Amino acid sequence: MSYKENRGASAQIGIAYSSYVPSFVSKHPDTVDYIELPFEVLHFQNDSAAAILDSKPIILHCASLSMAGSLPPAWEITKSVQHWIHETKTPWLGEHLAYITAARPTVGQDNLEPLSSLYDTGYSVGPPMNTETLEYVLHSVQRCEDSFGVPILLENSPVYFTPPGSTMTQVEFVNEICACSSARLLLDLAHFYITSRVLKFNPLREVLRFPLERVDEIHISGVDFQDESHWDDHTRPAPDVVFDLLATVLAHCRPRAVTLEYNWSVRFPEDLLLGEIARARQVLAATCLPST
Amino acid sequence: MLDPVFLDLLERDPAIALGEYALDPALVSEFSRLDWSRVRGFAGMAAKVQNNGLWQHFFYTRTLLANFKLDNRLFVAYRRQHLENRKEGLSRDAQTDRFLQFLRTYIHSLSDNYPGLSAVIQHEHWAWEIAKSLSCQPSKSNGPPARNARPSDHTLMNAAITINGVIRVGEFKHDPLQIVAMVDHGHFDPKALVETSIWRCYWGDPASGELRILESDANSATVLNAVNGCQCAKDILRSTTESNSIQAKLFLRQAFKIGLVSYVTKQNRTRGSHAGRLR
Repeated sequence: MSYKENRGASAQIGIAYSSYVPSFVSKHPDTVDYIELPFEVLHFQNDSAAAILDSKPIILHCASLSMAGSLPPAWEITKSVQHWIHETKTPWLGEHLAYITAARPTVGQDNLEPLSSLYDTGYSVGPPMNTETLEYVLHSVQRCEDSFGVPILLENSPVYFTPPGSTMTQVEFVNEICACSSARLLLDLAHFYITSRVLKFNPLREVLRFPLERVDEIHISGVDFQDESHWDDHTRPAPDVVFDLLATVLAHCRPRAVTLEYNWSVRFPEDLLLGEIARARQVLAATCLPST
Repeated sequence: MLDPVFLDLLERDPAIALGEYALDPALVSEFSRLDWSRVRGFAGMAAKVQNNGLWQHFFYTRTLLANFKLDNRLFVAYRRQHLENRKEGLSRDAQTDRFLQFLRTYIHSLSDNYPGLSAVIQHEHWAWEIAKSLSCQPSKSNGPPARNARPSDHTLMNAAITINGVIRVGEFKHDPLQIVAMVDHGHFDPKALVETSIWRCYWGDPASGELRILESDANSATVLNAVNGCQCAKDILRSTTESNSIQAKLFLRQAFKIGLVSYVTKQNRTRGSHAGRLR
């Protein structure tokens, strides 16, 4: 089943894939417009997720391309992403503005590390935001555009601490990327809110400095507070401020999709999920810019 | 930055940790000003997300850990083990076993009291072990173990008896089923839990292929723990006090009736000798 947009209509609403999603979709087939599916689920365990491909249109999301890293992804990963873009007929590919691999340092002539040796964090890590990383990102965007045939949407990672070597804020960094490329954006509002708590800025004001005209997709998820810090948490509903941010953003741009990411647990209370979807639709109906 | 060993060194002495990278001194100085609790918290959160798959059978444990705001700290502590697991390429079951072992030790080491947490971990651990065991049983088409007709007193006392399937028996300080019900209704309230002694028997019933959770007590637990496929009821009851002996006999009759125990026969001798590992 392929993703189709109603031109001129407001954004579509989807949910991120978890093991509870197939039964939720079969019970409430008209509640969501699409499923956002991690590439990694298809790549590593495609049997269990393949059934969902027939039930709803798919938007593919990825955490393997290391967009802000100094090394390109492995050839097999690129080939597999290409394959699943084709299979899912996704309209675009979402990927984190982060890195998961990095080259090991070469030290003088005595470096005996094999060329293939690299750090693999196994998790998307926010990069230092500076001109060097900007170059890595621009190369990655170009490489993806050349390889995949669908737009790549860069997702803002939560900033839990400012990475050493940063010379820009995240908003400045994203603006630079947009100024130098045709990259589109995936604005994760929970990540943005977490960043605002860490760096102590007003999220409702600062989000307007984000290049909103490039935003095609929005993510909504929960936020936890532990040990004096805010943390990304896809097991709980989004706090009110995330929906306030959604309303603020929708007054200034018209994204094509809003995804509720409640996908870190094998269960999410059904009534709660239905309520969250209805709430997102209400905000969309109340604030979306008129079609042009 | 996500490697706890490197992180320890980085926090202690950034100049040494970063020596091989030939960095600008200003950049090294930026590292030394990092908020290490946040960096460690991030590494823990990464480990937490990478272990999302562990929770498939431990939903209530996860819910309580999150409720007590313990999950991030737990995974900060677990990260080193997690990285070793990744390196070894452990199976999901082996990862779960290691994680549960770590979790129990971690919870035990906490000075504060987290009502219900140990009970829920035990409940889900046993349910998981029994589900695994049931999934390895021969299919039902091979026929369930023979159930005995109501035994005569003489038969009951003199025939060797065995457990049908797998059981776990133990004492809980809080009722795990009450906690499960609270979570299912969306309002876990640790203050509403009353500390008490509750005995439960978790039984993987091979006839139905399902987990059954039975009310138990210290006396019946002693009896069940003595059922080993070799002893007869007379020997088992000898180990109980006289006043408990009558109750134990009644309990054994009930256990026969529901199929929890049966006489040792040629058919179930092999099965009985290894299936019912007891606690």
